Amino acid sequence: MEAIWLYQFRLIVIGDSTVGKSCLIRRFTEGRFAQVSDPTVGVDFFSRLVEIEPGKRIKLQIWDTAGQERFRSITRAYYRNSVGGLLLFDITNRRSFQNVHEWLEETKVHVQPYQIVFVLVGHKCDLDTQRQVTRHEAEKLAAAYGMKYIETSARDAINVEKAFTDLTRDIYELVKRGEITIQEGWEGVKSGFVPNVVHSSEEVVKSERRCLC
Amino acid sequence: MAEAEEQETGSLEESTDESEEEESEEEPKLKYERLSNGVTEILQKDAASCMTVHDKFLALGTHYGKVYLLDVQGNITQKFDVSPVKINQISLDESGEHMGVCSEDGKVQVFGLYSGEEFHETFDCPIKIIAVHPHFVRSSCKQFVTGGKKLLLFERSWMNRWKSAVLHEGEGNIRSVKWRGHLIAWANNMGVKIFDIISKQRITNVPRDDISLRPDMYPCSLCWKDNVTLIIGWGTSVKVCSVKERHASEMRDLPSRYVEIVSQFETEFYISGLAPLCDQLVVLSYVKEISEKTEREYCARPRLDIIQPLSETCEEISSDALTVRGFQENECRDYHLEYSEGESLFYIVSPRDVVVAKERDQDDHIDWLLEKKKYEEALMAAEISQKNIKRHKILDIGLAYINHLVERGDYDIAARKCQKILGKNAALWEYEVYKFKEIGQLKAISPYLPRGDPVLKPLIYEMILHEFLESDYEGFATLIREWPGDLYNNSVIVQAVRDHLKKDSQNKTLLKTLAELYTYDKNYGNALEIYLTLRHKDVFQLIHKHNLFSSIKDKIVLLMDFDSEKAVDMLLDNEDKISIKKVVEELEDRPELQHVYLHKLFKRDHHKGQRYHEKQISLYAEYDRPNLLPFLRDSTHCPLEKALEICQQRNFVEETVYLLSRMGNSRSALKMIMEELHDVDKAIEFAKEQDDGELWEDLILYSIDKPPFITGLLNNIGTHVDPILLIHRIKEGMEIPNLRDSLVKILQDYNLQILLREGCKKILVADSLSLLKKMHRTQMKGVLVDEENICESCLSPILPSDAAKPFSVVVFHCRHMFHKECLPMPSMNSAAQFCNICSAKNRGPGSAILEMKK
Repeated sequence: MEAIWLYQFRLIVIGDSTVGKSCLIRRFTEGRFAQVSDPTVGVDFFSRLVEIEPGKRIKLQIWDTAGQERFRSITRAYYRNSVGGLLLFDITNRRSFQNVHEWLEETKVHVQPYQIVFVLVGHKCDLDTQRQVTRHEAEKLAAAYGMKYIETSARDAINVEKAFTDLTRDIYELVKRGEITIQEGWEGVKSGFVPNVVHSSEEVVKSERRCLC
Repeated sequence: MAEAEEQETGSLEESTDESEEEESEEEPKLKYERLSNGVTEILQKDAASCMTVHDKFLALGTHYGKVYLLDVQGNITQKFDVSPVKINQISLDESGEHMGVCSEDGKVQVFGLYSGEEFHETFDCPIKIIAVHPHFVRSSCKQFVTGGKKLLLFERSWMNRWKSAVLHEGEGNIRSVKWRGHLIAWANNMGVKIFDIISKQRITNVPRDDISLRPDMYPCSLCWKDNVTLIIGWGTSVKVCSVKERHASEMRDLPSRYVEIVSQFETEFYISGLAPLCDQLVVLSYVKEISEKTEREYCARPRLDIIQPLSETCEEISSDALTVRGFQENECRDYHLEYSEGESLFYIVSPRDVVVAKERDQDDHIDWLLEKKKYEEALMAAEISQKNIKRHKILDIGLAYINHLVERGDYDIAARKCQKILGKNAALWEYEVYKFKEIGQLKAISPYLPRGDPVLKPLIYEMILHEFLESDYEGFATLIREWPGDLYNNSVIVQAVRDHLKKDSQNKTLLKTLAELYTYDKNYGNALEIYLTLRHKDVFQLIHKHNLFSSIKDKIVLLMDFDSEKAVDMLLDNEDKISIKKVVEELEDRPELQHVYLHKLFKRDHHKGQRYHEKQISLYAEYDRPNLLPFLRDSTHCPLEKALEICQQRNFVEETVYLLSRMGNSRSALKMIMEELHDVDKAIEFAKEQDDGELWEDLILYSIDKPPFITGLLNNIGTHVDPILLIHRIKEGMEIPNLRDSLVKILQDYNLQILLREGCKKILVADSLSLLKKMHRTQMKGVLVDEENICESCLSPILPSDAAKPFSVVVFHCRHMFHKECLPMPSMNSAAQFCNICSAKNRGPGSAILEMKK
């Protein structure tokens, strides 16, 4: 049986390839760091429970997307059903920072009519000596888009927990305030009060009928 | 993407290497067709992620999380909105009524297509694979497996609740599964395992060969060839595994089944999918090639190969490169090969395209043959499988073949083929004939034209005849002879021939043909005339065949002139149709022919032409002397006086002699022989024939003053007339040649005769003597008289019943017995008594009395 949770948030991690999306998620969900890994293909997802307040647990479903997606248009489905997102760039790779704008633009196009709460993540902060993007610049950009900025390192486990929990907390606030609502056909936020493990037989019949019409 | 769409119109399939294409004229094994209709529509916006094939429908899963049910043409029949993201696998049970779906966002649904949803759950990791029990429709088989990080087996308990059990975990994501019978085969990062659902035991682990390949990029392909044969394709390696029952003796605590790898080999390219095809394999391969220009790796078109697995290698049967839409973008894992077991249909599923490969049927085979211009074979193939071909018609192939032959200039073969191909279709024949006319090859087709059943328009035949008439009289004649006359309008052709004869009036071929045409037209008069002028031997046959005797009455002379032998034979054979009288009259002016006729008539029958015998005498005399005498001998109707007159007139001695003798005037005849012929032998012969003393006398008289005659006579007459008669008459002093020899001969003959007679006398005496002796011996034999014998006179027993009584019996040599009393008393003058019976018969070899007295 699943652990009891209040809400399930679906988060998406985007950004140029090789910025370390998968590593960040792995560090967060599995607590480990893989030195070498194959580039992600398609989309993968992981989940983890986060306790934001004592007794209030949120289930995070985190989608890892491929930085180089062949059917980029298809990833639209993943954006659309997410409530929050981590927009990653590599602080040692200026180009990945410059592309942040592109990623945001693409997200906006696909996410309509919903919206995603983003946090800008400057990754690989352990490699400070090779830094190409200053914290200042990044903060400025984040402010311009109305996002938070955080610098993380999956290898050294810096700010990984914080990045996810902060984002979760922000979303939770919005949900509590009713700015984000649970909607049918949208999987960004799901309430944990209704267990969706097994549908009752009644419901099955109903939905089946509707389907046949 | 635009690039990919552009290729939509391009050909789907191309043979692989160019070099191969050149060297092999081999026919491809499969044909390809793009699945269109609804599929085209779906794939414009969405992308195919997986597909499952059932006998009657297809289930297509997309990257947008939809599942479409499609008919085999690709029309959408149903749509399920399962997930917002990629559908990873769809599994159908054998009945096609239950479907299991799993998607990238961890959703698993198992439901009846008609009976409603049964299971719905979302997991915390992507579910890559699902397989429902093949007999899920049965309540005892409500089982399915799903796979993400672990392989879970779900079973419905008696309380209608789903229970799950972990079958396996810890070796990375489960990425392939195939359930067949009670065996579930799956693949994870390490290898392929098979689970036996009945014994609930894992029975094998086939490790992965090339672990350098990313398992998510180069997933394992599994397919069950049958209930115990699993084919594994992974990377470039193929393994054929056979599940076997373990022998009881080896069982111990091992699973009851084990797996043997029966075949294992490497392929050239990465395997994206596998399917069995009889004992062969269909392999969908993902090909990466290095561009010559940029030296970078790029995705080439995938290939569909048919291979024959051998134990350690494989043999390529066919290989096709497929231009699927957007192949440049695809990875190995994007391709799937699905198949319908019953129908040998193979579906190549790629994100932007679904292509169906079919085994080529007879129609396709014919297509190929036609493309390769192998018309003859195509025709044969079509004939053999007449019932199975749908698109092709034998006739169309045939027509194409004819066209091809005509184009190649093989007019004769083309024309010959017409016969077979066009058969009895008159319209097509006519069309073809016009075609041949256009290319000036009417002659080529002429021998093959139908000559009845069907019959074409007369115009067609006339056209051809005209063509021949212009250039080839012989050919024309042949056609006229071969074609039944009712094929064309006779008068038209006759007219045409006549026109040609105006230019070349002596052309025998034309004339003859014209005669044949006339004959056909029953214009026998004209025909005969031509034949006669041509002196053609067919004329008699013609007359015979058509019974033209009435029309030849006035042409007898002509016929006789042409060939008197045959003409006479014919006339005589048909005497009933042309009377002898008529013939004789007709031949009045040509006595020599008249003679031939009458002579033959006489030979056949001595009596038929009796009224002409008189006439014949002079004819024989005139034209055929050697046969005159036989005629005179054989004929009983010819007037002898008249004959004699003619013979005497012509001085035909022999004939005259014959006539004279026949008229009984032998002396004149003899005289003629002697006087006219001076032939003593003949005269002697004549005299011998007549055997008349007077004639001999005449002959002697006549000869007496002619020494050579005398010699002849002396030499010959010895046996007929006493030569003394002749010799006495020879005059004194007459000189006769060879007289001495003749006399010697006469004397010798005489001697010979005396000797002969003496010899005869001796023989007779000896014979008489022996007979006398024999008689004596016989007469000396005793004669038994007993009770059996009777008296021939009184017919009572010869011996008296009372033996004591004295009696007298007379027994003759002829064995007749009498009582003495019964015989008449012997007369006075003859002492001897004779047997009454034998003397009555006037027969009596020794009838002397033999008296017995007791």
